[in-house]
Amino acid sequence: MTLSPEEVRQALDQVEVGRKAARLALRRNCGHYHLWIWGVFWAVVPLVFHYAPEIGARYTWVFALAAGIASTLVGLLVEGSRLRVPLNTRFAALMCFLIAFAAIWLLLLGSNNLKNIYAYFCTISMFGYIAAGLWFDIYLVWLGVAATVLTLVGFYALGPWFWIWMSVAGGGTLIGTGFYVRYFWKN
Amino acid sequence: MDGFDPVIHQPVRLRLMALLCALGRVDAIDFSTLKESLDLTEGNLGAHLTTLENAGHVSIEKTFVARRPKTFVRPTADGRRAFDAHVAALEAMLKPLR
Repeated sequence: MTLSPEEVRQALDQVEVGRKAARLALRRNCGHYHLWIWGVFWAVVPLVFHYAPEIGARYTWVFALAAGIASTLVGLLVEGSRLRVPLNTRFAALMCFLIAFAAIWLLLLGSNNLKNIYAYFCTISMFGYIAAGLWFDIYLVWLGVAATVLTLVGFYALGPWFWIWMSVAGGGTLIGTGFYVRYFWKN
Repeated sequence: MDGFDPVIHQPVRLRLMALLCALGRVDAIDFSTLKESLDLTEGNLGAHLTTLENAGHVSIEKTFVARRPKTFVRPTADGRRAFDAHVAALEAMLKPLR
């Protein structure tokens, strides 16, 4: 079979179209759902802490976290029905160690200041995003860095507006990134 | 043309194989997601998958997820090798012109 250079280029273009479709399928399947769930968590919890700190400290944290974890598991099941991804045991182990060390460091630091604990967990979870980004898809690294910087700005510079800032900037960053990944990512 | 595969070379099958081989850590993709990703009709996709399956380039698994029938598609090891060889053959054809 003899092909003209133009036919060869067209064939290689088809290959690129297929590869691009694969990247989109991966991102559309694995990214936005979790960003939306945890974005809502980041948006709602700080507002409760701001407007009703007693209720927030006692109940909201636990319920929201449980709802977030449950939704994430449902999301993983839904995703598994589209793309079958074998469990990455090294990454899963890294996340388990991260959670364990986060708990140990919290005990060692011994802080019971709600703002400190919240900022601590936000930056720890963003460390998890950065690790996931280094492992799977680079956009999570940028998201993790951006959300960490926003958390530090709120923590050190915004005083009483910290909770509102975390709700709008933190939650907004995650939810907005979810929409970007789902609807606007083109390559 | 060493590595050139006439079965893979058809444009839709070329896109299909490129997608399947680029999924990296993904073990298999379901039929509907594949159809949406490449903007194909069910009949068109089904026919091309059958051709690729007959050539040993993909394997098709029919199963049930939450009591609903699901069809998962994955490239075989031979299919990956054939696709890589085909792309290398295409690139080699362009080399003398560069």
